[in-house]
Amino acid sequence: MIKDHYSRSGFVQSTPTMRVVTDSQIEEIHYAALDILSHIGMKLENETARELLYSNGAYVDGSLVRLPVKMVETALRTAPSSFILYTRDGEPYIHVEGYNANYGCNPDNPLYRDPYTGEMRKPTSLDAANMGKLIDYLPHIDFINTCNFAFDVPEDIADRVNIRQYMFNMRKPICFSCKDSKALEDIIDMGAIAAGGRDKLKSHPYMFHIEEPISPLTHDEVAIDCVMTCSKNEVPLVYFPMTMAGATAPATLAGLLAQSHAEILFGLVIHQYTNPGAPFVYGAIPSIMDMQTTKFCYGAPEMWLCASAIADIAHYFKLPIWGTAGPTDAKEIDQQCVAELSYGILMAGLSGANLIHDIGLMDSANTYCPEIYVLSDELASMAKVITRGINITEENLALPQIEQALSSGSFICEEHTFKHFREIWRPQFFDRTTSSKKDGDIFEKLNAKVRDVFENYQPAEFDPDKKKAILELEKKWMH
Amino acid sequence: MVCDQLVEAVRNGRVKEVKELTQSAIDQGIAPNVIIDEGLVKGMGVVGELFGKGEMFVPEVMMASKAMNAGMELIKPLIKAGDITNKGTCVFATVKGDLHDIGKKLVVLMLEGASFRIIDLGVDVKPQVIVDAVKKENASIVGLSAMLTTTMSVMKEVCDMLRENGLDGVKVMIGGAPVSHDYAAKIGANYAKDATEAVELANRLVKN
Repeated sequence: MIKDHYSRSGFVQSTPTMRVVTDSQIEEIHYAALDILSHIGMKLENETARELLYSNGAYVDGSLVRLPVKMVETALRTAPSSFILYTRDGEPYIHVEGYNANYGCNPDNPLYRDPYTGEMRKPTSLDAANMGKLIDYLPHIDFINTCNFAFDVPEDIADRVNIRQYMFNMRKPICFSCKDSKALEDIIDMGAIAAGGRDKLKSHPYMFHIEEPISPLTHDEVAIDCVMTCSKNEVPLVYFPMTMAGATAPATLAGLLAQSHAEILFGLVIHQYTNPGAPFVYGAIPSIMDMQTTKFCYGAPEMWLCASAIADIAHYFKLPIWGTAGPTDAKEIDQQCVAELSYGILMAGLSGANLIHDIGLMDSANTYCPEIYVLSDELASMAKVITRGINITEENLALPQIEQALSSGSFICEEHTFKHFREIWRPQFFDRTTSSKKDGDIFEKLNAKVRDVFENYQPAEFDPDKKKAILELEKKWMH
Repeated sequence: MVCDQLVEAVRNGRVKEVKELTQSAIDQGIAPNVIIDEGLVKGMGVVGELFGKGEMFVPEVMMASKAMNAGMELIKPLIKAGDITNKGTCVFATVKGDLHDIGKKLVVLMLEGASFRIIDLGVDVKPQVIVDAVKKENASIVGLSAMLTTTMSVMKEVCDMLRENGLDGVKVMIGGAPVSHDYAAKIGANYAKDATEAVELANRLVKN
């Protein structure tokens, strides 16, 4: 007799997760941040924002602003806990919410390792086109974060030129920096062309923007202009401090987190009081200054630890999360590089940060090389196996198969194995051959993949009318 | 000998001890310039060497500098202003439109520790203000910092303005995330990639 109903009440299926701070630790950090905001105050170098805050109950003294707790709590209440990022072609793609982890990378930092010559050189907007294709291709990288370096065009417009290259060569959502709020408006117009109008872009965001305070405790005019412009236009905004323990934040991590949390909340208050309910993403790059080299370090265990704490805090307040993984301080794809990438990628995934950025940069984010994105994609795919956890179902417990093994001694020929073996992870690049049969150097394999994608991969064509409209629009700023 | 003890106290960043030893040296009738050369500045020299070798770290350098300055404050009233020698006067600023200054702060502190006299104009500084300060302070070096690609162009404006004001002899050093050797060469300035290099660069610039 076959019983075909499986019932287990009260059973809890879970996936691996990592907590680095408890609720009570988060509350202490939060109360410390409220002290910073309401008692110490912060410098706000934007008059419009000061007036907005003053008229809503903030205490303003020159450029020093103190926020009463009620304003912070109001902003935390109105900030949405989730939103969807869409592709260029209007499909829902990233659900920015909860513990849903997605990895993104920077396709255009100051120095580029040319995959054809090995030269470290300045990137151009042509490189941006190739990187767009590569990211479109890689299955485990879900968005880009453009820093706008393109040395073949004037600095003033490199932001919009690179974004156009990504729009033309890649379907995935674009996170961007830009020169100022005027450029931001241009970029919103570009996004609106893709989405089918500014209203459509609001309801189907395809692009999102990043701005930063200047730690410690300073918020500058241009950044806050952009914060308010994003809010009004409901372009999702990430406002994240990049702190260095011992230099721009306390040398002790609790203080660094309290300060970072306060700086983010300050931006959140301005953002939410501009347009309550506009999408806001909480995050930070909480790292250290190396006290010998004076460098900001990405490959620091404190950075990964604090980035996980930042994710824990954001989960507590149910805010969408900007995470950080990779980059590395290594100067090439070597042992240091892979160690730092691995720690960062896995920890960010386990912490459930929603938009995990900076994947794959080297030399403390000065240099990017295409091979590192391919490698990071492999590492991200491994991390996803781990965060998927172990699914307990009757099928997966496989008791009938175990029973047959008593006589057969093996599972290899089982239909169950045939049905499920593809769920087991396989490397694209890492070597599992026996040592006598080494299948080529891993870097060579990564490089070959990069060249193959650059030369042969065709991303889905962008709507030709929309392409034309973008080129028409950009006559405004192209000389 | 009290000067040797002073060197040790400066090297270890012991502010209170440096004050006590400096006062003791003064009371013993040791000449101020000897206290400075054989005690305070010598101590900072040891610090500089150890930092260069990676055996001391930035916060320790800062504390040593604080200790040395505490000693200097006791000596200053005893000598004429002109007798305190420094390697040169530098005017430092983060350029107009930019508020980032941690790198500049670090360079300023390290240069002060290396016996330069620094006028730090702060952040978001207009080129004219920099040029006026150079003239007023008779500075031999200008240090400029920028963090953004959108503000680094102001560095060129400063270089041009110095030349227009007949201040060709003033050396310009620049730093910050978006700048580079190439950019410095383009605008007629000198580049240092971090605070340690900045001190070496400043030392070279005043020698020439």
